[in-house]
This record gives sequence, C-alpha cells and structure tokens, in this order.
Amino acid sequence: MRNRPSALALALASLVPFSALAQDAGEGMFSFSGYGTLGAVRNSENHADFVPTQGTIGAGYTHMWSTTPDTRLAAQVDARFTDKFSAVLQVLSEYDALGSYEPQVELAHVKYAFTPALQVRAGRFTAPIFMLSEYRKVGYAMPWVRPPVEVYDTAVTIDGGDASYKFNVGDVALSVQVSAGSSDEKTFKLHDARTLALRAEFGSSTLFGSYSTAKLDSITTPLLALYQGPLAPLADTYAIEGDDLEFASFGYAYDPGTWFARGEITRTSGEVNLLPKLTNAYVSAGYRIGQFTPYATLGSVQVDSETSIGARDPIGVINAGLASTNGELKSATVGARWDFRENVALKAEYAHVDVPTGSNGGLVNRQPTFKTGQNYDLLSLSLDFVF
Amino acid sequence: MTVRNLIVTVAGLALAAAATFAHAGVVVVVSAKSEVKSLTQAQVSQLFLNKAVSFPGGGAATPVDLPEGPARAEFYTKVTGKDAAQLKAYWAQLTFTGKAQRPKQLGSGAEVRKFVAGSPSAIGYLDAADVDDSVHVVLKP
Repeated sequence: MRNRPSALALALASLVPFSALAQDAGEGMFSFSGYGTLGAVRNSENHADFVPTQGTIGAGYTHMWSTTPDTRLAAQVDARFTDKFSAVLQVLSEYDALGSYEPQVELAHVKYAFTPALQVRAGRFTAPIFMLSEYRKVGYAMPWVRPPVEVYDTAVTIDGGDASYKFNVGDVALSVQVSAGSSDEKTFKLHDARTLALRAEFGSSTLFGSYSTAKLDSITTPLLALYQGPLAPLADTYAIEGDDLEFASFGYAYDPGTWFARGEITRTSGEVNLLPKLTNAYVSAGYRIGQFTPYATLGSVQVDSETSIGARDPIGVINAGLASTNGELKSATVGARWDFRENVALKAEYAHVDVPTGSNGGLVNRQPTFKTGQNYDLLSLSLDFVF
Repeated sequence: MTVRNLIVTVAGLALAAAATFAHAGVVVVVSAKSEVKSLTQAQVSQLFLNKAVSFPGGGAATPVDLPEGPARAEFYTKVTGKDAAQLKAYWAQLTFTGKAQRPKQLGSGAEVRKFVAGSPSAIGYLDAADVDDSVHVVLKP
C-alpha cells in the first residue's frame, strides 16, 4: 500500500494543522520534527550506476556526481493522546524505485503502551530485520554517509502490527520485538512477512539478532511466461510465486562514548532459486575527537548459491538471470563525520570496492559496454540535519 | 612573592572555591518515598537512554531532564559517556523510528526536584546543592 494516493493525501493534509498545533502547544499533545540529507556521490565506474538501496539511476553511468542515492527529506508528527496511546506520521521524499521524489508515507502507526515495557503498534513501520534498520535513512543518527550497503541493501517497510517487550535480567536490558505484515516496495511485494528481533544491552555493548520469513510474490508474473518449451522442466524450480524467503541477522556494537566498533552479518536464503543466497557482513570502527569522528569500514557480499545451471538451461535465459544476481564484492571505506554545528553533520568517505571475476559488484543500470569483475571507487559527501 | 601576586592568588582561590560551592557536582535522585535506594551508573544510563523502562526492582521509571546547561552535560557525559552531539544522534535513532521520545525536559533544578519528590516512578538529576530531603540520592556519578 506504499503508493496508495489516499494515504499520502491524508498524510499531507494532516501534517499542516498538526505542525501548526505543535508549534502552539509546546510540550503538548503534538510535536513536529524532521530529518534530511543532502548527498553527492561519485563512482569511478562509468558503465553502470551505484545505487545504495533503491532507485533506477545513480552515480557512474548516468551522472559522474549523483545526488539521488543519498538525498532525502522527512517530516514527522508525533501525537501523544494519553500516556498510553500515541501515534506517529512520517512523510519522506527521496529518489525512489520508480525514479521520482514523490513523497511517501514512511511511518504511520498508532501505538498503545499497556505498560511502559509492553507496547503494540499497528499501521506502517519499519521491520527490525537489521540492527539499525529502523533508522537506516536518518543520516544524522549514524557515523557514516550511509549504512554499509553490503548489509543495508533492502528496504523493509511493513504494513501490519508489532509488539515489543522490554525487561531486565540483572544489569542486562533486554528487548523482544515481533512483527507481522506485508510490504510493497514497488520492485517486489512480500506477504506474511514475520520478524522476531532480540536486543540485549549491557554496559557499552549491544547484541542484536533477528530472524524473518516472508513470501515473495508479484515480480514472478512476467517471468512465468518464460517457462515454456525447453524451459518447461525448470518451471518448478525457477518459478517464484509465493516462495518463502528467509533472513537472519546478528550484530554486535561496542560504544563507550569516545570510540565505537560494530559489525553485522546477515544471511538471506529460501526457496527462491532465481534470487541468490547471500552472506553479507561489515565491521566498522571509529574514534571521536571533539567534533570529528573518523571511521573505517570493511564490507563483504558473498553469493552462496550457484550463478549458472549450465546446460540445464538450453537457451541461456535462466543462466543470464542467475549471472546478473552475482554481486559479490569486498569493500574498504574510510571517512569522517564532522559535527560542526548543532543538529548538522558533514561527512565525507572514500570506498574502494574489490569485485571478483563474474560479479557486477552490486552496480545497476549496467550498460552493454559494462564489464563484470572490475573494481571501482566511490567518493561520497553528505550534509545531514535534524530539526 | 609580591603582595600584589598574593592578592591575585588568594582571589583566584576564592573564585575557585565559590565555583566549587555553586557547582558541587551532579547527583541522581528519586523521590524520598521511592523504595529504590541506589543504582549503578549502567542502570541510570539505561533508564535515561530508554534502553530500560523500569527500575531494577520492577517499578516503572520516568526519567526527566534538566534544561541544557553544565549540569545536564556533566550528567550525560559521566553517566552515558555521550556528549550533546552524540545524544542528539542517539535520540534521532529512536525518535524517527517512532520508538521513543527523549525524557521530558523541565524548566529548572527546583522543578525537577519537585517533580521527582512527587512521583515514586520519577528519576532525575540535580546539582548536589539543589538536593533536599524530599529526594533521595541514588548515584553520585
């Protein structure tokens, strides 16, 4: 339902009076806030585009310097009706999978807190499949220009419900979250998407783990026509309708204040044979020196499934499809965040991406002149703000 | 040492002493009626960062903030290890996911003391000079 115009119209219409009220009401029922990023990225590969998560074009072939991958603006209204009952509406404009900046409803849910520890939400929210997934678009909230793309390569907006429970065991603060719903991310649709996420915080450490299942549909329809004639025997294995996806992640962060280190590893698997089974990971560390936070990150994308079925595909269509899913890479990034004034941060980072033979390195909009297995470099600049 | 230097030195010492009295260090307080007697720095950090929402004994906890100023900065630096910019980034993580809002900010130390004294679930921090017997100190960070 991400595109439904009525939801957008409702959201925009309701923002205006909300914000006016919020300014009048001070610490009252409504509060108004927002975040945004002005970003520019340059890609040394100019036969394909770098796009972090979504969008049709980006840096490289289309633009030498591209502003579409990271630039966004969001406005949010929080409504606190009672101590227990509240609501959030967030509208976001960013360059999307359909190639437009049309504002979308990113968050729209009501929350009921049975106790401060037990909360349920219904509406649109972000599934907690990654350690940072819920604020992956809030540049100001993180040290990097963007979350490491090796792991944060998919959007996870869910329409449904979730429940979270917080409790303590000794000095360990634990939180359990379960969510269920469906997702329409334009380029793919999920239903029966379920996630269980656990978080444990003790001292300066945070441990995170999640497990998700979902059923994939709708992108398969145009593909079904392919499974005729010589490809008919492959229909069972390589058709996708309603197939299960599985996703698991594990993360650890240590942040005593003056420095941080964190890493995440994720595994994507399931029955969808045309989608690769993946192991994705990153580790990152940074040191805070006054207003500056220099950091370094290593990332990896590993394809665990076959990228060709050889002669079983006599006409090469499946093999071409499988080959295009090979986005293996290893990356090394260095950068710095500069908190040069309140509520604003400036960041710059440089990444070298090592691409093995046969891999497209995760680049999209690949031109006929594009060659696989070519390393590339990215230079990214961003100005992040909150208000 | 000349007399003039001595005067300057004594004046400097007096100023330093005055500053010490005026800002005796920040302490973490709950209501004098609360059953919570002491907390560790880690526990207080979890409560003020919304990582934990109840006291170790089980009762709900409602943290409140002082206005921006030296006492608030000292509290967060000592207890959470985060400076003002890091806290902004941290709360952006929770705010823009619809998960939680930062603690309610009251207008002064006197308001925090009054709020904490009147609510068994409240937890706040004060300049030690602002403490009276309506509140109980649970941590001197």
